[in-house]
Amino acid sequence: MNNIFNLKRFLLLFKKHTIEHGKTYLLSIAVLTGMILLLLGFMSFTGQRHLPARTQNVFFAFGMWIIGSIFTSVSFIDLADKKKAVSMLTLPASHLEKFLVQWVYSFLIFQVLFTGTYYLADWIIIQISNQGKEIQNELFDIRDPNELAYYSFMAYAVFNAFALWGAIFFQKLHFIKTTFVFFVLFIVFVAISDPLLHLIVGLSNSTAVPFGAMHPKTITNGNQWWSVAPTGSMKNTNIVMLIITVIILWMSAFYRLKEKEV
Amino acid sequence: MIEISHLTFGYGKAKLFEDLNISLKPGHIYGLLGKNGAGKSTLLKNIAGLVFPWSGTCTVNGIDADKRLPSFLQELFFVPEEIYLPAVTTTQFVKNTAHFYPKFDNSQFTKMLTEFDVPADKLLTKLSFGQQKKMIISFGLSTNTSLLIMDEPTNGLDIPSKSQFRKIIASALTDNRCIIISTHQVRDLDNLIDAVLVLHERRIVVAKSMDEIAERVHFGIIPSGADYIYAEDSMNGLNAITLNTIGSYSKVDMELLFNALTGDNKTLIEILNKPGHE
Repeated sequence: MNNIFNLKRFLLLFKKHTIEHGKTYLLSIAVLTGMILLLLGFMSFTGQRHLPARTQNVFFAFGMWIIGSIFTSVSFIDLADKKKAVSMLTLPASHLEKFLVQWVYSFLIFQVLFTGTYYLADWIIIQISNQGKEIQNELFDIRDPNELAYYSFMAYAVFNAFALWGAIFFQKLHFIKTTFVFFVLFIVFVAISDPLLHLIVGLSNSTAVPFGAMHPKTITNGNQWWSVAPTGSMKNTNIVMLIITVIILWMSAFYRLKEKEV
Repeated sequence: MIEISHLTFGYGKAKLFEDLNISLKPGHIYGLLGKNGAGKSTLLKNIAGLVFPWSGTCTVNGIDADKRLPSFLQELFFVPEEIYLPAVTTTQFVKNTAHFYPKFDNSQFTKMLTEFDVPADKLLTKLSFGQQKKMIISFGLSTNTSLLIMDEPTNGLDIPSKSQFRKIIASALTDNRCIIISTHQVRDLDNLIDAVLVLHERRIVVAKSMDEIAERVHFGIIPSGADYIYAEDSMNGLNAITLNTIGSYSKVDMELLFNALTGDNKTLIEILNKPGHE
């Protein structure tokens, strides 16, 4: 018997999870649709029925990150309840299979459903807003690399990994505690970024986004800004680092599940 | 079957067990007794891999419990004191869960459910606590796992159900199966268990079969002035545990035995644990 991963066992577990949580998920989709309709409807109403693609893009990205993080942070909520935790941990499936069911739902399925739901709600609002209007609103294009939504899926992996880690690491108030840790880390990164770069590069009077390009002022002319960023094959360093961080967080969540006690 | 070796465990800094050693064999129904807070549930959780030993090991069929491997879990069913059931009907629950247990017997389950008078088409969340408990006990028995652990299973059961419970458990025991029942209501285990484990002050003070206990000590009413190991006043005189010197077997009075052992009766503990009579 394969004690690490068995596809048949995983599919049975996935089916069990879907049947037992299906109603909650359907209800959540209905609430999500209503929320998006309300939000976009309000934006259109206050903007004289004008809903730019950029606004749709921004709401899509932030909506996915925030709602996705909230949804993910309750993935392992059963482990916070002793009764449910016993039932979950003693079910004959491996830790990896149990982890993957939550991962598939919170990462893969969520993105598909959120995108579908958002597009549907957005389309409805645009149809209503365009009634008898000369300049028609256009539905935003997720494939536009100049817009935020294009990168939202990649960024969602970071939010998902963080939220999934918090979901299993904390016993209660998962979302609040995870968000708190996230912001503390963010502030720490921002705070150490400049002095660290100064230490490495030796340039003072510069600004830098954590893991981004640095912008030192020239020494001779204090009014000019430079942009120092990796080029060539090093260009993707940030993405690689981000992927590594995401994988580490997912792995950390998985090992935490293995160590979970009731 | 179950080998607990030098197990030490606790919560926070407080030790609950220290250097615990027990060996449990298949074909028996063990009653795990102990006062409230003695650590009965925690010991069961150690066996089920729900908590991890500080030191020592706990293995079931040679597999470390704390790894919670599927091969280990499919041979174990744990009925906790407080149960969680999803918002599905019994029929749906069986359909979604039974296939994780290769030896699950659906006809056995249906029969038990009928005996317990639990409706199969009602949402599990709409059943009373007693009915939920009867459903999960029936399910656990029908999985036919080699190890069945039940923590305070009779809590929430009415009097007729308790007697049905005893009957059903007795009928579900096979040579390959080990059943552990923990309770502080010792009378619920009357005529059911064939071995007893008494947990007291961080250790197992007695782990013996009922036959062994009856072989060594005698339970019954004695006249006042007679020698005894432990006694309690009763309507008819002194209800006592005496040394079995004549080899006459008496029915083990679980409550009396429990009170004597958890009351630190060292003579009784010594007599029951004396080697050479096994």
